[in-house]
Amino acid sequence: MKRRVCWGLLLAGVLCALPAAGHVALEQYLQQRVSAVVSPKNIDLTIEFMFTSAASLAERLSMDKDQNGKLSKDERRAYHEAIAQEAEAAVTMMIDGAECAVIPLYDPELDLLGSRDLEEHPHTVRLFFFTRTPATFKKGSTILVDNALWADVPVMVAVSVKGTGGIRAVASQTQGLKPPSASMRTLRVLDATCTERKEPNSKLGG
Amino acid sequence: MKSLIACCCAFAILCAGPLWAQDTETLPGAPDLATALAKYHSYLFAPAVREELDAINRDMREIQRETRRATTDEAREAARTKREAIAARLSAILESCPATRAIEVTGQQTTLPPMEPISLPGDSGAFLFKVRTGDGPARCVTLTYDLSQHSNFRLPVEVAPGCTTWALISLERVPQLKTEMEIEFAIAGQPTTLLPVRTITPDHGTLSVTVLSDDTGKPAPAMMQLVWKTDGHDVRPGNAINFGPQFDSQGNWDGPRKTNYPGKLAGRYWCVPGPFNTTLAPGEYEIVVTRGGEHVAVHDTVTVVSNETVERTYRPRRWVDMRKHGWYSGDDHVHAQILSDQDAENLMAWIQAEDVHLANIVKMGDIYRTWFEQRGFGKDYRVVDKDYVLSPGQECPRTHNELGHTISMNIQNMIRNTEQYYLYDTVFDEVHRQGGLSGYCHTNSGIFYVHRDMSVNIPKDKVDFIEMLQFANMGTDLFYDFLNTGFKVTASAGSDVPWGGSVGEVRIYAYTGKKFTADRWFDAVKQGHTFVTNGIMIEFTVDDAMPGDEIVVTEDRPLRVHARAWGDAEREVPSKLDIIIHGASVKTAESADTNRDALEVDFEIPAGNGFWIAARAEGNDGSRAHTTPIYVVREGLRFWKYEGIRDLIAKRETSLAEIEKIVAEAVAGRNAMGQEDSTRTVQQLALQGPELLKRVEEAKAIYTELRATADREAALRK
Repeated sequence: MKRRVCWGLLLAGVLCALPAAGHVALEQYLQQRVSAVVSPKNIDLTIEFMFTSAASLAERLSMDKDQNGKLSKDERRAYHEAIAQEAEAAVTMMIDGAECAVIPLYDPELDLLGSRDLEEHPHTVRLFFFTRTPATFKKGSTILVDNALWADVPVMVAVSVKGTGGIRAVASQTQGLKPPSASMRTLRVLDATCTERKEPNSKLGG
Repeated sequence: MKSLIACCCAFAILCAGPLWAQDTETLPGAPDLATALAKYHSYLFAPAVREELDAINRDMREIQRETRRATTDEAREAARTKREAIAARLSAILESCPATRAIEVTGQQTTLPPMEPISLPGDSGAFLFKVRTGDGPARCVTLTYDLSQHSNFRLPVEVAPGCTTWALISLERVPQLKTEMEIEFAIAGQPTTLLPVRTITPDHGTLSVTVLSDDTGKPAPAMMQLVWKTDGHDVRPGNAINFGPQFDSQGNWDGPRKTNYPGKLAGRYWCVPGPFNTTLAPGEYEIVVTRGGEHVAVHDTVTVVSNETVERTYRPRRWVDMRKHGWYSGDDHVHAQILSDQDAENLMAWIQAEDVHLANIVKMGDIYRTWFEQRGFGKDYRVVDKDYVLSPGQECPRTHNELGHTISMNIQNMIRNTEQYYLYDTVFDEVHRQGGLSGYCHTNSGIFYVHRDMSVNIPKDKVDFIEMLQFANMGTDLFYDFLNTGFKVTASAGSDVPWGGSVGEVRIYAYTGKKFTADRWFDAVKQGHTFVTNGIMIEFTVDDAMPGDEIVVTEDRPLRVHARAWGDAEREVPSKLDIIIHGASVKTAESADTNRDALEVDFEIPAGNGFWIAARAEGNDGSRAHTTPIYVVREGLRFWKYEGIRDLIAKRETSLAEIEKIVAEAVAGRNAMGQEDSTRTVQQLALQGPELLKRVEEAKAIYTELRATADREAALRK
């Protein structure tokens, strides 16, 4: 528990390092790219956070604990771990109104895009999750994903949804760029609808 | 990319702490090992086993979650039982893995595996060792080494005493051909065991790719994905363009373009300007080639063999040629520096790869500075290659918390005076004086409080277009609100690269007729002869009028409405076509048939008291299209949504009140959030506030007059 609190504080530090909501430049916006792959067995979700140069510097400052201007393996690991711990609670998924277990599929990836220095240089964080596709999932089913990571930072969201195995799904058009808001604690990052589900044995049905 | 593996795996292991100091869970370390195998090294297993590997990873992760959340002994016990079963499945496939090498270190006895070289599939790969030090319960360890970071190839592996350890060692950036290294098995209380290993990576093969234009049959630029199936990593084609230096360190400037193409096409693509050869590790590669929205993407799998060249020629089929219908594609929002011929060549290759005929290349500014410098503006600085044009424009003024972002096309000079920065009309007027077009960005989402300045300047007819499609997201709220208030607004679309993915991933089509020039294209946008799309195509007429046209009627006569949305069964087909009047659908055609490539409506509608009418379509891949409206004007009446007009006007007045509030805050030394702020942004807003408020008052007067007009129309409407 003590460890979790520590990481919670670290993440709070990370968030504080980012600009205050309500007065930010575009360069400090966080881009989120959300992609979902819906199959009959699983729904895989990848959330990619792309920190532009200025926003990345704020994050890099929070990583550089020894303030030597270099992001060591330990510092990167600490950042990584903080995100991993928070992510599981921060990302929630509802399918047809019922909450689903959002399970990490892989560990998060931190891509510093070639620079491990404390500088204005973009970086990317990718989170991977999945949930089991409910047996009740059918044409018309909706998938909603909310994310509370960096929720106080204004964000631009791009969404893509793919269906496989006889499922076709499309993202709704209510997504997009999210304005900054002091009260914003979570963001709806995915709103998708199943538009077609072919049951493998439907032709055999009576 | 590959360093990510190291980062993830090292992170996972280091988090795990000392191996033998953990709890008594079954097969400790198994989740990390299962993940690494499933994500990167499934090649170690027979194809039939790979699906099971993925299933084990998911089950492992799921049970980890259940274990963490278990609050009762029963739940914990149930989770433990499940975990044991999954661990047994993992152990079984590890035992059956042909790549496993066994090491036995018990007492004074050390048995090393035969010393034959270990073949890796390319410059990355993995070793799987089964190290037995005793009869205790088995455990797993996962490590990653980037050999480019090691001058001494001694790779330590910490092994627990008295048990079996499954050790997965991932290697990255392995030199070609033969490499000697030593695996150092450190076992507590025992001497280190060194295992000399020789890796062999195969000779590379060559992939030679040519993409042809479907129009000419000659080599042409294209967007391309190239993925090594062995580990799922992107590979950069040999001549892929690096746009990074032209992006001023802004947005997503590094690596492949992360596109927002709809549906299954979304992904990471490189822009390749022409034929290329590239040497690759042998194995299977997945290739996707696209040439923009009017072509069908090509999907292929190629097998590269050592010391051989595999040649492929692709000719993405053009499923529609909108030029033949008189419509030419454009992207109103492309950021990139053009300071040299090479910069221009790079961008020209990109728009040709995406088959976008006109790109508005915008220099960007804010109240402090500018980005994406250009050599100049105006016709002399257009870059033209056949019917593809790069035309310099600007995204400026651009305020994030006050009035929104503006964009201009076809300007003769950059227009920027920071002492009038909040007086957007001064820029719009100058843009028009120069013969250009002015518009608002990002209205699809309404970000940056763009509704505020829209409420000031759209009523004054100072704006030509708005971006209502971006990042695969069509946002119609503001578009419909202003149309419903009786203002003509032209639909536009822009990718906003480098924040967006690729040029033309959303596009505006403008009707130039059969002859295309940049000037004709700009003129078409000025006339409102546009539609926007990120996939399916759409056509729309009312009588003989096209989008942007006005039909004036003197009586309530019938109007013939025709619309068609169409696609291609190999790419996307329309699933829905709506005719929209005053924001609401009045006619819909729908289809779930993936072989039906067109939806059409043809019907009569009474002109009534007038309206704006548009067509909107959805594709079965999630793509969207929308036309600019046709304006049906009944003489003496506005085309607005009369029954909701008072609420609509009130909305605009609320937006104006927001401007008054932020000016008042600025005068008091506070920013838009009411926080004390002495930045230039706030200081200038305070200084320019009086002039801005004059414009607000003028807008208010327009809205007051509109109320009076609504009152007058009450008697005229039937």
